Amino acid sequence: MKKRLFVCTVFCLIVSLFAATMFVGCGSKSATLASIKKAGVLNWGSDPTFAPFEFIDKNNQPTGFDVELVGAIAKKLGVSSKMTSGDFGGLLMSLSGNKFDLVCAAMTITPDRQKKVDFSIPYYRADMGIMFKPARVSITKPEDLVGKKVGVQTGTTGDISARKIKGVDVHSYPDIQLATLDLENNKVDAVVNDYPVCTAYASTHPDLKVIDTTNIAGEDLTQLYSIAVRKGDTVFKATIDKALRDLAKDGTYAVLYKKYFHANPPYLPQ
Amino acid sequence: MKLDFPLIWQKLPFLLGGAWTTFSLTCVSMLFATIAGLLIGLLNMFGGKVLGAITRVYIEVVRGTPALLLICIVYFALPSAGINLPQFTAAAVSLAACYAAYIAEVFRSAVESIPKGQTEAAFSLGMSRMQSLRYVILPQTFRRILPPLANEFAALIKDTSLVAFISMEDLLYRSKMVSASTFDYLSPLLGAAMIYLAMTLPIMQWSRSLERKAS
Repeated sequence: MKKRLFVCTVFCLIVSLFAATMFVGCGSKSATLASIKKAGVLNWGSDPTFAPFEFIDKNNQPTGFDVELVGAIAKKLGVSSKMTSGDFGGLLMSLSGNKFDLVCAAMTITPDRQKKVDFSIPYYRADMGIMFKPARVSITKPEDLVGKKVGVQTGTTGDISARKIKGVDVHSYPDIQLATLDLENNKVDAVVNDYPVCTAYASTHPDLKVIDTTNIAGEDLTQLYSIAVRKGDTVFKATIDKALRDLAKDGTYAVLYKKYFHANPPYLPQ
Repeated sequence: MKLDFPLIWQKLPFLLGGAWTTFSLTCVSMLFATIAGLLIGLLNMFGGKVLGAITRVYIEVVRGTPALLLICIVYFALPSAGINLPQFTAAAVSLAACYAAYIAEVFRSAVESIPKGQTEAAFSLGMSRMQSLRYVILPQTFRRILPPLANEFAALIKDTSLVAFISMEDLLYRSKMVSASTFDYLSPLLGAAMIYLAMTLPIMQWSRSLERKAS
């Protein structure tokens, strides 16, 4: 009898927990834009541990490509912007729970995330970069990596894609800095990593060259970063989309891109 | 990789800001966790069949689930039930609820470690159940729960880092922010470790001196 009571109580507790979590995300949707304009502030969330997209400056203020981009969007709306920092894993939940108006955190559009939130038009295309010393080797396309030693960071897109080309000697490192160090010391012939990370590094190492690619071994590697808004928040999404297009047109986007990635944008939001 | 002490020094005020969140949250949660834990422990041992079963379910469910789940339920799910708590309150409520379960067990083990003969002796002197608890058993448990309580405190101080999930900038999260902007992963963590130690060591010392006084 006592045992049955115990089991029943546990069951009821678990059921009620699930019932409670199901309500998450059923907030108001259409009023986002109106409430932002009324408050005069765009509240948004990010995880400032990912330079150069979002990080803190010398005075511990958030800065980075995403931060300035959202700042520019807020300016277009005629409001100020206020970023709240939080762990990446909790950002979309906070968005659905009406704690933020949007999330901008170098977030790739994935089918799983699309089930929970809506995404703006992509504002950034993450290409793969192949970095090498032109004085030692000549590489113009991913297939040129065959027979060469290639340094990558374990578990990244660069790692996965380099292994797809047959005949490439892949060396994986826990940290991309170690791979680039070995490239400098001629221990590997090339490094495959996110394009902006490569160009940022090459900008301070003139003996290195970077080529950019979106396709390795016949596989599309394009990762599109986008701004997340609440599911069904269509009016607000349209506003963000328009602001992104306007920023691409008036040149603000290119200025920001150059500032943080030291190159011309290979992709514009459209 | 070499340690960058000037960086730690320069970012110390920023890290201390995070440490304040960590420390205040730990103290508030620990206070309520201790009160609730003692109550749950007492009800579990002496509350009779129904209260005993309910508190046992509470202890087992809370002990067996991650604290992060509790934090998320309180912060993200309770608003749909009309209870919309700000971050600090939500974090304190959920951490206190979580640690109350551990402390209830600490308390139970302390009470049960006192030989049964003492209760029987108290009864033979004509004391009631309540009197035997108040005058014989509980005063002796005080000394025995201090070391494990100090242990829970140290664990809680580090568990507060979970609140980064609900967008609170605690000490660990702030050290990660410094790491990301300087590409130095060791120094900010070391700075955070020193501040964590500066918080736990005095508490441990205090608990030890209380233990000596009580013995």
